[in-house]
Amino acid sequence: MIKLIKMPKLSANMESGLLVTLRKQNGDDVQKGDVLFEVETEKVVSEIESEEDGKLVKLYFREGDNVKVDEIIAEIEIAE
Amino acid sequence: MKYIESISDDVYFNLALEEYIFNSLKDDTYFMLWKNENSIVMGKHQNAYEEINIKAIEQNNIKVARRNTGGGTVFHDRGNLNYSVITDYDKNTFIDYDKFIIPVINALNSIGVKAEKRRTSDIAIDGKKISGSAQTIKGNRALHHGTLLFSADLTMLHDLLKTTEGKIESKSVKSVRSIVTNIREHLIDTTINIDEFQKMFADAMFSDDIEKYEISQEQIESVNELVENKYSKWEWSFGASPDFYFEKESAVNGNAIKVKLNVKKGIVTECNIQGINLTCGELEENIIGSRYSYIDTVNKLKEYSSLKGILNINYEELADCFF
Repeated sequence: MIKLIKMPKLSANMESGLLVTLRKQNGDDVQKGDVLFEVETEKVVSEIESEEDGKLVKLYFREGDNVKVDEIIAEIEIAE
Repeated sequence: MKYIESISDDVYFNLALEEYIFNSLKDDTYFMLWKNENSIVMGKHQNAYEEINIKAIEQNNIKVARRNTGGGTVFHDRGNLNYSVITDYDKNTFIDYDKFIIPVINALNSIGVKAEKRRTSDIAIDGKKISGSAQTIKGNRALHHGTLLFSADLTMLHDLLKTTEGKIESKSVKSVRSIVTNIREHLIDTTINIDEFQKMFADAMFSDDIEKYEISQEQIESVNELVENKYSKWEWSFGASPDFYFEKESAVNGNAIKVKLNVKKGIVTECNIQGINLTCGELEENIIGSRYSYIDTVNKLKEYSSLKGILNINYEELADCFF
């Protein structure tokens, strides 16, 4: 099963966030609680953690990209 | 809530102490007050070379630090009081600045400072900024910190921040410049010093029975390790800058000189110099692979044999073409 990881809405006024650091790359194994990436918005750096075990199979953006709220950033293939 | 007064005025130590509390002390809310000797503090994802005047920083030996929170670049000196709040964060709620800023504004008001909220995360007097703040969130903990300009050297602040006629392209987080003012100028008694202000502010923030948390020797050692392995390292303060492209056209003794650089992790990876009536290949090769530093550039120019025969050569003026 594929889980889509989207840009979270971190504040009431947030329209987009800066994808500042990618901690996981395409093909990397991820575990629940691992930090996938860091997002910055309104002077807040927020670490986005994986909610499941699996493998990152697709990445739609690069470091430094501005991503709209709810846009898909990555796909994780969930471990069976 | 527990109150911590930092034992140091070293920017690297204080940022490391803050990170230590954030990662290791999760049982309570911690409130910390701290001041730094002259230093520049950048947001986590900023490009040092885009934000600061490298020449002035290197020539005056100013410490440059990168913090863990977002936002822009600030200058700290002993006239600037910093506060940090480290507390629980509920992932299902939105980012909130007010719950941290409003108590600070109330405390300032109670000691006669006519401070008010400005924009999302600033505090101002008559529209001029006295405080900026930023945050980081990790799991179920949040760190909020802010500056309070009390009697800071505002000229120095201005001189150490970047000004270039060159062009810099990167995907970094950019600073937003604001008109600032010192709190002291707006007090009835302008003879109060920063230490007295710190005490007044702390008294206004807390009741008498707040628990003061003393840092142990063992904790200091952990903090010092973090200073050594992270905060004081060039690889963190400069090397963590996003990659960028630099281009500048200058005139030296009537000769147009154009410099183009690509810099990755603080290291020059591509260098192109046009306009000096000499072959620049040797110089370009000498610069590629080294740190993007003003003093190093001056030294490399001095080593460059083809320039040695030119009378009245001003190496600093030539180095300015690279920044």
